[in-house]
Amino acid sequence: MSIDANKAVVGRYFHELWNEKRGDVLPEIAREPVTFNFPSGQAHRPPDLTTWYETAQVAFPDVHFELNLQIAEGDLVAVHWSYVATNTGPFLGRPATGKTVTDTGVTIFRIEGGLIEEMWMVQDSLGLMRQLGVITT
Amino acid sequence: MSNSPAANNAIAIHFFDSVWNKGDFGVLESLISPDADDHSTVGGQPKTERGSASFRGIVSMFRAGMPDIRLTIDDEVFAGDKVVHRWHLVGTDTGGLMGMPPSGKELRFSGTTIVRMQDGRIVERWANVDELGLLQQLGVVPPPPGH
Repeated sequence: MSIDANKAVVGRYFHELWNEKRGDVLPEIAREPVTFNFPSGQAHRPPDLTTWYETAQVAFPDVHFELNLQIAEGDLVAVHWSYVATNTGPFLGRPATGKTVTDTGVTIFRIEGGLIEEMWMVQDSLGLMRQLGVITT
Repeated sequence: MSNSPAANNAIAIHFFDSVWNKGDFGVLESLISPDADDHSTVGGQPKTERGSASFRGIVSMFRAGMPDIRLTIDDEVFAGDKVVHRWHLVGTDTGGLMGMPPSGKELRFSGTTIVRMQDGRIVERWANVDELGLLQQLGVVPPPPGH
């Protein structure tokens, strides 16, 4: 697959799956179970993309991503993103807070045969946990 | 004159290796533009600062706290004028970090750095770091729920 095709798959991941809430496109853009590489501080560690998406639809159903930077080479696509979301359902075993949160981070995707195979992510988990009131220190 | 993406990556590798692994701060002057924008998130708050001072401050703090600190670049993605590095840092906390007394522990944390290069110098930097993971290892904040 070309670099442009890989970028297009990642574009669909953010715009169609997350922003337009089209769970039906998941099999067209990812091969489950996608391998996740979470940093140690990440609180929410779902086993696969389907679970992640379904959890987010309950906890943060209005989540909306903006793509700030997109850099692709070989089989990798790196995206610097931001999102805004409102916590209107249970998350991390805690009831909904009703709070609107923002977060920013970078995800690097490995694409194989037009499908997302692996993801490495880092995000501002400290800021997120503070906004949700999980961490008060 | 703009460099090739591969040449930009080579400069970025030299820069981060010099600063983090060798403590060579001379490259902060030679390879960061004085009017560079430095974007990071500290204490859960995003911020943007001008020039090399913020990055110098971060590296100085970590090298004082962990004199044996070692940066390893795990992935490199470069295209156009941008270079992405996924990295991890490992070091022994013998000097104390984040206002905590030295723990003597080996700490490990990861992140990504994106730089925009112009004429062989860094003109913009975006740092995204697992700050929460580091604070949890230091015992500053409790482990996440469910752990």
